[in-house]
Formats: sequence, structure tokens, C-alpha cells
Amino acid sequence: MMIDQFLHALRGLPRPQLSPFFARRISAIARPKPARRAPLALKLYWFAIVFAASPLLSTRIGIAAVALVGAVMATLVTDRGPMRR
Amino acid sequence: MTDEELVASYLARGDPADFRELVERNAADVLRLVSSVLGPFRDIEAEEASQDVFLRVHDNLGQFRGEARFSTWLYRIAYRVALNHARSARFRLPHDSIDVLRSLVASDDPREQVLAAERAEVVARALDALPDLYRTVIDLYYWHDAPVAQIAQFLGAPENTVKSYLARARERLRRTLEVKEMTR
Repeated sequence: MMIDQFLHALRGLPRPQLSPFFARRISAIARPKPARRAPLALKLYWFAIVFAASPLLSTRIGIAAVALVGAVMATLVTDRGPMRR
Repeated sequence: MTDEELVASYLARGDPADFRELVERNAADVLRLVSSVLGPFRDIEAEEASQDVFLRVHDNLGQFRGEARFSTWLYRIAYRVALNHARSARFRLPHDSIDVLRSLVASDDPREQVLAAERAEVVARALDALPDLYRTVIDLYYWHDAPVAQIAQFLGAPENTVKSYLARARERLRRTLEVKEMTR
């Protein structure tokens, strides 16, 4: 069996070519995604939460209160099912 | 400007012209690699796969650390994407390597033509039975006429390893064909 003859014959096969505007098409589809940043309101909200919660966390009653609120929130979210936008 | 500098510039400024330049520079090599995995006469799929490669590269550009060359990172993605396409292509499309090799056999003698076509069929089946890596190396070397150094770049392997892949692929083909000859 002349295997080399067949392998060399592969060179005669046509090779694929890209369409003329390939790069332009790709760069049109691939748009840069905007950086995901938390909005200012959300940052202020978390700042207020942390500010309010920090004195609570220094006492046992405060920790219990935070845990209770967390548990109630978790139950509410679970009962409602997955959050939807 | 090097590819790595273009990536950095695109990440910093988001100018689509930078990304287009990256695609223009590397598209031909990506097509070569991708089409070698997919095999001959899969032009449309090869272009689709190349497009997927660049879209995936675009989406993951932030993960490119610049520790390796951009081309190394790109070829790794291209090879993976092409393999996925090849697997789905094999599922969707029948193999046409047999027809391909038959078409390469030209002879005026009808008896010789039949014999050659039979031999071509056996070779094509043996080629299709090769592992993806060996088949890719064979296609790159024989079909695309790529030098060993470039195949080594494509696969991220040393040149000697590529040479041994080629030798092993040929040896496998030879062995398969010997067995076929003996069982006739």
C-alpha cells in the first residue's frame, strides 16, 4: 500500500479561504462589554447597612437581632421562589 | 505593535479597530488549525468555528495574563473549539474523506481505477480512525503543507514531539493497512 503517495496527494486538495469581510464581521459582533460596576445608590445602601449593623454586632442581643432579621429575610425570599428582575 | 500590546490597548481603550487588527493578523492561522481538525471540504464549518474562536477570545480577553504569547493562548482556544465542532460535525455529517481520496486517484485504465479507489477507501478509513491529534498533525503537514515548527506552535508542543506524532500517525496508518491487506 502506497500510503505516502496518498498522504502527499492531500496537498492537491483545495484549502479553505475566509470570506473577505471576516475580520470586520467579527469585530462588529464582538462589542466590548461595559465594566460591571455597582451603582452609587447600591454602594450607599451597603454603607448604611454596615454602619447600622456594626454597633449591633458588638453585643449578643445585637448579633441575635441581625441573625433573626437574616433568617426572616431568607424565609421570605425562599417562599417567593427565585428573585426575578 | 505586537499582538500582546494590541490586547492591552483594546482592554484599556475598547477600540474595535484594535480587535479587528488582532483578528486580521491571526485569522489565516486560526483557519488553518481549525480546518485541519475538521478535515477537508468543511469550509463553511471551518469559518463558523473560526468565528467562534474569535468570539470566545473576545469574551475571555480579560483572562489573558500576557505570561505566554497571545498566539499560544489563541491556538489553545482554537484547537478546543475546533474539536468541539469536529465532534458535532461528525455527528451531523457523513464522512467524505473516502470520496476525497477517490477523487485524487486518476487513471485511464478502468481496472486500475477500481483498484486505486479500493485502496483509497482503505486509506481514508484508516485516516478517519486516527486519533484527533494525529489526524490534525497529518492534515497540517500534508494538506496545509505547514512546517513542523509551525505545527509545534499550533499545538504548543516541541518540534521533536510533533515529528514523533507524525511518525506514529504514519506507522498507525501503515499497520492498519497491513492488517487490512492480510484479512483480504
